[in-house]
Amino acid sequence: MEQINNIAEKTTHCKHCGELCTDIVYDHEQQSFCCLGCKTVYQLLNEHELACFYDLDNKPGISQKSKLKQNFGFLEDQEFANSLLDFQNDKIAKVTFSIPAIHCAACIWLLEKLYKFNPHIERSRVNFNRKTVSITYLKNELSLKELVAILDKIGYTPEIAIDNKTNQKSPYRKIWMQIGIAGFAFGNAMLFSLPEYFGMSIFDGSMVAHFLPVLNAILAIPVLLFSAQDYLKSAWNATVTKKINMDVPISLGILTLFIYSYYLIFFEQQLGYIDSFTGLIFFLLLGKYYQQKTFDHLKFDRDVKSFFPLSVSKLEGNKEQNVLLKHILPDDILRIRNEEIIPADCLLLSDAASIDYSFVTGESILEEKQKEELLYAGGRLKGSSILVQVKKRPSQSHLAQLWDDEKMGQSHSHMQSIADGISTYFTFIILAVALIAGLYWIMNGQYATAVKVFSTVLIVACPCALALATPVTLGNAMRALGKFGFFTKNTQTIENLAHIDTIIFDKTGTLTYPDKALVNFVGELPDHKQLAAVSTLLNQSRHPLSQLIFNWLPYYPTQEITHFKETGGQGISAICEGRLIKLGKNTFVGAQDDTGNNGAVVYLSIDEEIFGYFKVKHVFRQGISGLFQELNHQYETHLISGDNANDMAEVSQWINNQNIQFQQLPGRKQHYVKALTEDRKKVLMVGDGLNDSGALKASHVGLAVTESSSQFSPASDAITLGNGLLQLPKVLGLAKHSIKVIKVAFIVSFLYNIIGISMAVQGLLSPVFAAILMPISSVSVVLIGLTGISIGQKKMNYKKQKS
Amino acid sequence: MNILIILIVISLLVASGFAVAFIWAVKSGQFDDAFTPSVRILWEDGSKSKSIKSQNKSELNNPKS
Repeated sequence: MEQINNIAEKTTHCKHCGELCTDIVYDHEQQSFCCLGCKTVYQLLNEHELACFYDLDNKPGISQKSKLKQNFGFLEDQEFANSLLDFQNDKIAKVTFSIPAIHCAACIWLLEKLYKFNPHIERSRVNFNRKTVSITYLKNELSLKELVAILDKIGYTPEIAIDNKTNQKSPYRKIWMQIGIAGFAFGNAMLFSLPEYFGMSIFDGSMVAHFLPVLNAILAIPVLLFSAQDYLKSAWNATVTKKINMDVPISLGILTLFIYSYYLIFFEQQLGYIDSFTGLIFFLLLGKYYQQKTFDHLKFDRDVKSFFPLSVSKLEGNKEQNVLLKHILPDDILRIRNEEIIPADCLLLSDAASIDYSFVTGESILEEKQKEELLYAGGRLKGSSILVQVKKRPSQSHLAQLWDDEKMGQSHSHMQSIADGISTYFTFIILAVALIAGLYWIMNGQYATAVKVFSTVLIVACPCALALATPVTLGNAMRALGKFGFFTKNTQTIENLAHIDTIIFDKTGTLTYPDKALVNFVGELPDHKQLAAVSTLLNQSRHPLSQLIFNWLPYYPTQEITHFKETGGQGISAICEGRLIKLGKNTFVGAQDDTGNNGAVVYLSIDEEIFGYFKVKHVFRQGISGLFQELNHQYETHLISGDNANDMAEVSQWINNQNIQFQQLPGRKQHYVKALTEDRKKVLMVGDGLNDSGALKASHVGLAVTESSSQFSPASDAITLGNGLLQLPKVLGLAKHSIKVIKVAFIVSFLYNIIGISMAVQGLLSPVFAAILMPISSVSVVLIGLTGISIGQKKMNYKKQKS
Repeated sequence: MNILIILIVISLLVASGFAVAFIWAVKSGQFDDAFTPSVRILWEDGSKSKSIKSQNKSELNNPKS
């Protein structure tokens, strides 16, 4: 246990990114860094006299720890590079990159000082809200690839996707102009109607009395044709396709007011209701704008295309070349490297390969493929590089489709479907109420009131408040959960989480640390020189055990090794300074098995001489017992593990013995989950997302615990990063809380509609007032969603401190 | 009283001027990013970084490890 204690004691934070420095602390100029990458960025900034980056914000940098080395070779393709540029002439070029890492004022400062890194960068401008940077540079002196490399070096790696030519124009421009025009007309119409408001008759009989209404009528035209066009178009489309939406009553209200006003102005010589009409549209648009902004804010998009490689290495003769994906033809020979995705259906030319098809199937079990076997697009290569021959032209859209299918599979949120159902009926009910009320007033002979009542009822009734409650509340809950380090795939998941009553845990990698373990060596360790070679060898392999042992060994400089070979499921071997080093199973190394039936041992032999074995014992995460104490109050907990029952004693302190199952195969795990769900239990499965994806899929909510967010498993509904698991009680509490918030929001919007409509029917509301009320009701529902969740968040934090 | 018509037309023209100015501003992208310029204006060039710069240079000359 000594090792974990050490980890907890070190509370140094990285100077660059503010992350806790755990394993090795890199020192430089009395500053600590969590990783070499952060340190490099710090040095780079100092060299270019940009160190005041660190004064602008507290620890503003971007962690370099989990960063993947990216190859920007595809930018050498001139055609592709040109397609990214916004503008170029024979000297300068302008390009806009989307950089998701932009997060604070210091980022803006640094990115706008890019010219200090390279004199050929003319200027750079950040758009913080859109997280983009526009760079103007001398294209003859600096290539696009070099430019991207500079950004990458300081931690702001641009996101480049084929169709991601960032559109510079704000999508709001149209609505801004619509609001501007409506506001202009509204203000002037009010001014011209002013005498009428005060019942003054000074203009009676003069030309002015005829002139003002006509001016009003002219002002109304651009408002109807431009500002209100989205409502009218949407309502028209809805009627044509016979699907009534909420723009239909609004458009009817708008048209009624407009036509009636024109009738009054040109046939009755009266002022009409143009001020109401323009004001109505002005406020409607303001409400719509606010709504759009809120939705954009809550948008949680995960762009699938960024998962796929954009260019691949193609073999031409003996040369490798980076070729754009769309230029790949059948029979081309490609080289696929470790962790790269197979872009097209192809034939394997190398001897063997292991492919992870979790993108396609959700099963993250490695598939071993032999020479001449067909590899399907979408798999991810694990292990050493392979050569493949393309059989079918790759299609970016086909790859994207794989992911989208997953997305389409999700059912709509239960709450949301209720709201949608109500909204549809709502429109018909409103139309009926408006007609009946209008007819009533006409029969009483009050035509002006009848028109007013008809349009007011149509405007004031607001199904949008109903429709907004669920997405806003759950979307915001999703963000709140993100702060706990807990990411859900969609809002539906949160609703499911609220109904959970049973929780099943996997052990290895979930309750235990996947990257930290108690390692000890049984036997005699070789001398340091040989250990350095062993360390290098371990670092070549991606197997979790290799990584664990590598982390356990002290740091050694990398040695030169040759003939590296990784035999899947057996071990690794290589030659270093003439010595053959082997690491792996007893059968692989050629040793006697003297450990009993314990899986987590790795034998070491050098030149066929057996030194002993590494024994790896997994370590439970800190705070696990606290987690179970909290959970056991409200939930039934189970543990199901593929390992042997070594840890039974420890685990049984937390979980009822009947609910503990050891030595379960993945298939059995899935079965176990299914049995529980058939028992009408709402099951939350917590696993590492690697070998239990079947079980994750079978459960109501599958939660994958991973150490890096890049290991996204499509089978899971939610992911949490490592220690986020300890937040589980909070997360479940918050999910329950958000359902309550939605119910409150529903009640509020119902009350609003009932009160609003009953007043409108009596002719107590004017259309303008209704147009102000309507966005207010939407806003109030949004506010309930937002504050409700943040109250819940605070409550959960408080609870945590108390316990 | 009919003289008012001229005044009303003039007022409408002035107001239209503002409306056109607004549309031009939107079209030229002045509203696209309302946040970054507000941060950018607060930075001074260099003066603050100088003291840090000289300090760092002396540190760079005798680097640890």
